[in-house]
Amino acid sequence: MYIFDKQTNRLIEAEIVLGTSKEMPVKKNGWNFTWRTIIKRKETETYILRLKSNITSIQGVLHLKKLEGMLIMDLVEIAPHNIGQKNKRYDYVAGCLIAFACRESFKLESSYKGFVTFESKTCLINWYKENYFAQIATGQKIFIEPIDGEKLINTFLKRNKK
Amino acid sequence: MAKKIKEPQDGVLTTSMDIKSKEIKELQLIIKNKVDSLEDKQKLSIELLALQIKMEDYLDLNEENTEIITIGDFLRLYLERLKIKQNKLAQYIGLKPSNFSKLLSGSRKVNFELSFILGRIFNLDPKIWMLIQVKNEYLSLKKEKGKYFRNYKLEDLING
Repeated sequence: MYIFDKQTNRLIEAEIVLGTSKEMPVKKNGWNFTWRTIIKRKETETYILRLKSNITSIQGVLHLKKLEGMLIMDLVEIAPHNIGQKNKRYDYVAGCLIAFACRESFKLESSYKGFVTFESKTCLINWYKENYFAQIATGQKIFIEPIDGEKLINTFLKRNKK
Repeated sequence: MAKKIKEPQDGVLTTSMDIKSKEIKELQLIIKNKVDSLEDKQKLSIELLALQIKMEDYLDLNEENTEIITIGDFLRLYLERLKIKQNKLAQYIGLKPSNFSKLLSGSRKVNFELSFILGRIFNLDPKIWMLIQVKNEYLSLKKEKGKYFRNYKLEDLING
C-alpha cells in the first residue's frame, strides 16, 4: 500500500502490521492516546501504519475489537504531523487504516462479515460519509457495508504506484 | 446537523464505542437488517472477497508461521462456501472427476491454464494459485531436504 508524501508529491510504500507495546507512539510526541496501555486491552487488536523504509516511523494507529461477531473500529488516531490540510506530511493514512479495518471485517465468521462499525466524533460524520461511504445507523454510530468496504480496499490498499 | 468539514483538525478520528450501551443492540439490529436485505449476488461477492483475502494472507505469512494450506484445501473452501458440487466444477473446467480429486488431494498440480480458468471463475488474480503452489512446494522441500541442501557450498566448488 502507499501513502502520499505531500512534501515530495510522491507515493511512499507503507504497511499495516500488528503493533507491539514497545513501538507504540506516546503522548509526549503529540499523540492523544496512551497507546501502550490501549494495546494491552484483552480481545482487541492494535495495528500500526508505518513506512516500509523506516519501520519506526508510525503514521497512524488502529484499534479493533469484536462484539458478538461484529467488528468495531474502536479507536483510530493519525500521527500529529498528518493532521490538517495545510501542514500534513502524509495523505491517505486515515483511508488506509479504514480500508484495512474493512478488509479485516471480511475475515469474520459471522453474519456481520464485510461490515465495519464505529462511533464517529460528531464533527466527522459528514467527512466519513463523503469520503468513506459511511452510513449512519443510530446517533453517532456508523457502519460501512461490504460493497463500499471493497471499494475502499481497492482504492487505498491496492493502489498502484504510477 | 453535523458541521461539514473538509479535514479532521485532530488526530483522533473515532470515539470508543461503549459496548454496554443501549444503542449497541439497535446498531446490531440495523446491521442484521442490512445483512438480511442483501441479494444473493451480493452475498456471493462477500464470500468471494473473503476467500481471496484468505489466500492473500496465506501468501503474506512468514515462512516460520506457515502451516501449509494446499491448493486442494482452498478449492474445497470455495466449493463449500459457494455451495458448488465437486463434480459440477470438475465438469465445468473440463476435468475428469478423478483428476479433479487428484487436484484436491494434491497429487495433481495446478498448471497455468487451470490457474487462469480458476481465476476467471472466482474473480481472482490467476497468479495467486501458482504462487500458493510454489510457496507450498518450497516449504515442503525446505522441510524435507533443508539440511541436505546445506552441503552445497561455493567454497567446495572452487576448491574441490
